[in-house]
Amino acid sequence: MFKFLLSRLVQVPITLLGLVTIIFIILRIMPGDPVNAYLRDMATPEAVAEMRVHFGLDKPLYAQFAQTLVGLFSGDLGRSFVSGRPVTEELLAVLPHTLALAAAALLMSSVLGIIAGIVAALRINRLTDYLVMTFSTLGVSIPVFWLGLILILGFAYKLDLFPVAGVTAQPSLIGQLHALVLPATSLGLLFMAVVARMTRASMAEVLELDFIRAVRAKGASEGLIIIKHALRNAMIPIVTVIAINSGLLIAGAVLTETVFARPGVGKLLVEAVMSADFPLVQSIVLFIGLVYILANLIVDILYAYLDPRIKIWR
Amino acid sequence: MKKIFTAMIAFLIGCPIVFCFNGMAGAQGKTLRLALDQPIMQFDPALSTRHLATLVYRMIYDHLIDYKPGAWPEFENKLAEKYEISSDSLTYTFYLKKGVKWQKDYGELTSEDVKFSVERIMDPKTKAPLSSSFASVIDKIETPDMYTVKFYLTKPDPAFLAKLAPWRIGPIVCKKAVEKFGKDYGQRPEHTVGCGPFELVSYLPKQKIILERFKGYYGTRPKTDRIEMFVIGEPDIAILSLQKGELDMFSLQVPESIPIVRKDPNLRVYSAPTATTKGFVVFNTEHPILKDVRVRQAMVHALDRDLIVKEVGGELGEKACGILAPYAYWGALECDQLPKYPYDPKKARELLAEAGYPKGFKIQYVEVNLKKHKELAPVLQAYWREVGIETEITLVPMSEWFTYLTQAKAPILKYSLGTRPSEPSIFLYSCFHSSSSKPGLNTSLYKGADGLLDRALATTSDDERKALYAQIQRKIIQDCVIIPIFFETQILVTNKNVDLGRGVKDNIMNSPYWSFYWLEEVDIR
Repeated sequence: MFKFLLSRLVQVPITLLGLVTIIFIILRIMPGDPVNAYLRDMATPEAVAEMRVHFGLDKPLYAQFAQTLVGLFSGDLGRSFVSGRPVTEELLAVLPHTLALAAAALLMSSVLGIIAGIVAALRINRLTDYLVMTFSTLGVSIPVFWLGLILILGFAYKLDLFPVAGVTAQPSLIGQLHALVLPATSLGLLFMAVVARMTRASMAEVLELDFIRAVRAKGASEGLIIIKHALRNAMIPIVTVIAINSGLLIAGAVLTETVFARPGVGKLLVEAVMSADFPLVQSIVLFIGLVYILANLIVDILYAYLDPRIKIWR
Repeated sequence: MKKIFTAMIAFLIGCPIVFCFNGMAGAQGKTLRLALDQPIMQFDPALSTRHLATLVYRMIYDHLIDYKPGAWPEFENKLAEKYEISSDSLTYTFYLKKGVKWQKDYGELTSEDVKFSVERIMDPKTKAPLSSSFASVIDKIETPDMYTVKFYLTKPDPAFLAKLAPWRIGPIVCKKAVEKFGKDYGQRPEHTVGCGPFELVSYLPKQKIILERFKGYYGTRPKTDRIEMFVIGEPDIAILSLQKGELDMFSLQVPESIPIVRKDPNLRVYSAPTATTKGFVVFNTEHPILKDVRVRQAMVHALDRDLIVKEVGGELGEKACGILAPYAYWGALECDQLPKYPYDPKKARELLAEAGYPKGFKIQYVEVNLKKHKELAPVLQAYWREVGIETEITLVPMSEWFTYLTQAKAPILKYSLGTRPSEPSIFLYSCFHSSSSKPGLNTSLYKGADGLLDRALATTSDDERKALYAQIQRKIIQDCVIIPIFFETQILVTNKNVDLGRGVKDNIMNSPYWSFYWLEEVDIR
């Protein structure tokens, strides 16, 4: 296990190096000048020249890249062009909100999705199955921002059960949890649909296998068969989907964050790209890359736990 | 499996605990809650480039002079008890009020703070975007005593007082605090020290800003005790929050939503005609086709600008005849004082034929790819097509548009600039003087006003300057350097219990932007 972890950890800097190279090139190629975006209508010739030096954009590209790499390995990711604050501070300011939203949405989507998928698999090709699958199709098809607006209109505005904008909620723990319900529901429903479909397919396949018949023949209860035997064997593709979801939730919740007026990594990335804030874009992309690497690592370890036949280390 | 499950639960419970961070005590007294559509990134006014930030800076910091509520662009004394200008306009002497306290127990404001604030902006190490604004005119600053500041200029600057007033770089900062916090100044509430009516007590980046009344403020007590500003980018969400009572005011920039808020009896709608050239288009006067003034005149005659203002600008557009908004700028001309280019497609075709383009031509028009900007492009395209001009519309992101703007890369460009009134010399010089080109805001590469502009800046006579400004405005319109169609009007929506105070008359705000409004005047009934 240790060797396995070590080999995966060695891959991390190599992956990040590749990522930072690609993002560096893309940022320099894409249209838009960060100096002009920063100065806007204050872009006098003197101001432009000064800010170009200040942002380090007057140096040759190879020097800028070298500086980026040095900063990356020394832990100094630079300062945001727009705010002047260290990018780590910018990221850390929004990260708790993203993690909270992602965790809540992931928990909801995983638990409810698995339950729905199990129910559908047990009642396969019957009304319950059709209802669950229709619901999951709708869940995947409905735009998350539309769903968010409907939830706000219904539950926050008409019924006055939640704050309309998350940012106006009370700063206490209860207040923040309260404000998390609608955005987590909006985001969670989308992923729940995906998890439900995967669970149904996987469970249906496993329930047809011989060993399940053998366990039934031995007289085990249905609950024990489903939870201990069938679900565990069906978990591998489900875990894979949940791991992919977690990465998407961290980076892709920008629409939910915008509709519910919440800060988050996704929104921060969009704003950084729009204002050509190079250091911030680079750092966020690296962070998202790290999230996916970590998610894949956890999934690999879980595989070995779920199915002892899988040896992830030799 | 159990251990992993337990760890997950612990993580999920622990995650929201981070929200215990700023359990602010419940608000005391009157609280004004407003929505911002963009975040404020930091609180050092020397580094600011955004109009919206001035809304906050003006509450935290004070200036030597300020604009009088309801009497734009008239000045009133603020930190200065009085001031004197020498007859040659090269020396400005300010006599400061005594006993003005800094927030957070940083002592008393003195002339050293004023000198430091301005010199800091001029210092290249500060990287202030507007450093040349002061550096190009100030020779030296002296402080003969604790309450007197003397500015010696290298040349007369008609905009010097405006530069010291709000919405430029005039806020006075605390020397002791800036020296203490260095690069971190203005990044956090504890690193932000002003002498204005409110102090910054809480800042969650991209979320909210909380200001509380500064009890040691020397001036008139503001009407509210606390101001909470929330970043809400979606206008629909802001409207619902306002209707539900979670907010007191916000600026609405979506025309489709204006009828909704007007219908609500619990809301009040105010308009603020601004000086933003939202419905303006600029020609590159060195383009092979556009360098002929007859072509440019034809393109202006081809447009029914009154109809465009009505249909495209709507409630968010104020008709523009010239380059300066008459309600915002000193010396701005009204419509009847400027050359006219009425809608006349027949005359347009005649001018094009005279210029050697009887069958028209094809040309590129660059526009910002944002909803509130790109509505104008197809309308112009349709009008120009009627006189034989085929326009290829290129939509670009905002950051790329700024490059087109400052490098004069497009033949025709949407010329939407958020200008900062009240004195026009800065705007005129930076947008129409040949020295402000590539990079610069003279996107038209126009040279025709250089002589007049230089004379206007050099004269010490207000009357002569006003007359020169009038000539400049007429010449720019005569030469069809730009097509003024409409200025932006901002709409402010409030709850019915909000009283905006002296800065409003007949539901029209007197400040040229809502973010310039005198928030200390706003009361909650």
